[in-house]
Amino acid sequence: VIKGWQPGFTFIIMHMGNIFFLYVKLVYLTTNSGHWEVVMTQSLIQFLLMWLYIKALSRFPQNDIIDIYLKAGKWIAFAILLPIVVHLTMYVMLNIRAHSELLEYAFLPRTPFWAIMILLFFVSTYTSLKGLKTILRCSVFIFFLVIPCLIFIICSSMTNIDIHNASPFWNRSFDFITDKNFPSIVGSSMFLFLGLISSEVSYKFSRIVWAWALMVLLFLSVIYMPLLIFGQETIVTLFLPFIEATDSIEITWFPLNRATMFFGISLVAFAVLFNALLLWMIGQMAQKVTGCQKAKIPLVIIAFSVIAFISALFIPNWVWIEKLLLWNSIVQLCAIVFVPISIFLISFLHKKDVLENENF
Amino acid sequence: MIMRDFITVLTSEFGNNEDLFIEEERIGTAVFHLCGFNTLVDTSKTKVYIRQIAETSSTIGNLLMNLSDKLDVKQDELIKAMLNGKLIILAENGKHNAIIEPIPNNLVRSIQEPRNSSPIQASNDAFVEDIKTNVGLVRKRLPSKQLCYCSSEVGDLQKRKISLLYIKGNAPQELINDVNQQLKQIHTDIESVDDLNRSFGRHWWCPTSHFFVTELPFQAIHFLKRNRIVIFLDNYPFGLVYPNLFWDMFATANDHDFPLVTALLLRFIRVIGAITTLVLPALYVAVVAVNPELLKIDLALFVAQSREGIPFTALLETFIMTVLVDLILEAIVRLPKSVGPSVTMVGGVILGTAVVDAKLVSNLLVIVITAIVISGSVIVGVQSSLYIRLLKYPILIMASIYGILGLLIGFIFISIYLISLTSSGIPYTAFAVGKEGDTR
Repeated sequence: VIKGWQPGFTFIIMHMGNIFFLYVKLVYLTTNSGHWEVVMTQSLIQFLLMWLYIKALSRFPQNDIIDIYLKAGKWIAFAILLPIVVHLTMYVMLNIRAHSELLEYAFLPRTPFWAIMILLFFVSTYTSLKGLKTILRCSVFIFFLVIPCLIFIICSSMTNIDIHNASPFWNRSFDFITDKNFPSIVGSSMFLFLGLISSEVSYKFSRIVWAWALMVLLFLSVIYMPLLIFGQETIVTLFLPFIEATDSIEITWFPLNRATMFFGISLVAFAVLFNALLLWMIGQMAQKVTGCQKAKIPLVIIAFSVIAFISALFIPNWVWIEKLLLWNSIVQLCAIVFVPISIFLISFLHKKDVLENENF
Repeated sequence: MIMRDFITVLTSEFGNNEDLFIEEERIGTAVFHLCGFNTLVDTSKTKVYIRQIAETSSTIGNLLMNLSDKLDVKQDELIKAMLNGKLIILAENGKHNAIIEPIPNNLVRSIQEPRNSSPIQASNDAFVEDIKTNVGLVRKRLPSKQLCYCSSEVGDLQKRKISLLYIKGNAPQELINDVNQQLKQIHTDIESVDDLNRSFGRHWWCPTSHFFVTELPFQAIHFLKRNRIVIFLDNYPFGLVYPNLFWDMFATANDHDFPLVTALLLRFIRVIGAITTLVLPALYVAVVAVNPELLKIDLALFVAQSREGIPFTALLETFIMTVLVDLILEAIVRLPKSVGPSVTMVGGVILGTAVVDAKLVSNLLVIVITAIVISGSVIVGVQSSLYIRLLKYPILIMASIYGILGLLIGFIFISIYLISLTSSGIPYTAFAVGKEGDTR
């Protein structure tokens, strides 16, 4: 059993891999002022759900959510996990497709998107086949490779910012909560994996909280960097606000023209790790629910990865990607609300059972 | 066992070996036979030694007792002992025998300066072929009761002695058990470090090794203290540190002889060297052939100018030059020391001047190639430096297809591959091996 900070790093990477397409844009669409309130509200809701989730999980040491659902009954587990597997496969698909589109935009405008998808597909499937421990170690490596790059980008953008672009700083009405996009923003939390790694890794909640705090800081800086450069009116019209913001950076002493390269490193690394972990989760669920041998997990992972890859080929353009991402985030919202609560209820019943058995 | 029988067995098994000797000796009234291989045993000196002992011994039984504590051994063991350079005495028509330690022919090298590494301001002795000498070198520096030394023999044709050295209470017990387990499973001959690697479960395609090879006793001790195991193979003048970690190619024990800041600088330089070797040729190809727009305009123009009139594509040009450089490096190793420098010079002229004058490759590439050669050599340990040199090719090919993106993905892929490697459950990319009792 590994103990340490690794799940915390994975937590940050999972969230950072998720925000650049939809999250940033939705935050700008949801409110005109006080963007930090949106981020903070979303993060706090996430924190509450996560707290509930980990609290409930801690009642079942050495068990993951699949084991817990299986305790409630095989068909219940099947009925709950099947939609999650479908949802995760869709996530992998969208993630490969969206990242290939972004990378194409940033680096290889003349290359067809499927060529980039093949790359991402191979590397992420390979990483996922290497297993959870490799993924966790990779997330530490990638954290130290990528976060300095992001910080470098954000710091070097300091010369371009205009602090007045962020005003008004307060939004006392909190009207964004009723906005139709707000559920999608909340739905971009990626903490479900914590319940799946718990059978192989033990971690402390306090360390996840540290990771969460760092994540909030990174979210805020990713939201505010383009906003401070372009201002609210311009930014809602942009295609990919963060990339355009990095493109606007001019570093005189640096031999490369665009700071986007650093952003590219981040994107590749996030995409690979994000997909790898999702595929690993799929493999884990499929193996435990169907009860097949552990040796067959690689086949399951490859099968789902190929399904995701082929279906990603059929997404024609960015408009569709955004639409699907929006739908997917709603499904994700259902998952992150339903799973913690159901696990909590099961743990509650379980505790009652145990107490009754003890009384007899 | 009758003496005649044993001698017939010896002659039938080793009769065609010229170095087998079976000699009858007579001291007083006692008659006995000496058997052995005169390539391993210094016969004349040994005979003198036996005579001297015989003078103080009253009977033949007494003589055997004085000479040896291995008396009346079975035939198989006698033959094995003979092959291992021992002398056999058969007395009283084969009723008694003994294995004695003769005066050996001097087949071992004395302790010399290290040949494969050059420590700066550090002790200058190196391991030799003899295991005992090697363990002695370690014991001399580490006179602790916690230092454990155990050995086993593995192999089929050639029984090879493998010794394990570790500090009890430091090296994790799981690790020691695992190594013992792995050693027990070996049934084939261990001819090389790679054989040992394979029997420890490395795939043939894996460029890294389970073992960090060192010839410096102080470095071996440095690793022992840091909870590793040092393995010695007989007739192999290096200690094999297990497990080998990624960080070992950047840090040596020698660094600790300098102030911390200097040591950190040295390590930083080595890390830069490794990254440069891996990435620079790929970066050149990516920037020249696929993503020229990444460079600032004046730099892009400079690159374009330097490639004016060059007939090859960037990939082919880089490929030719990196292969040429690798050829030169290999040639320097192969050639005798008297010819080596001249090859370097000729190579330098070809690479540096002639190729550029002939407009076959660009000026810039020559600089890139030189940088690679220099940076590839700063890594600690020849095998690490070799595998880093090898890994630059996949990144180069990726970069030629996908440009900067290919470089990044290639780099990340290689990192993921290295991260996934483990030895006895200890990740290759761990910075240190935990002490016994620590939770990892």
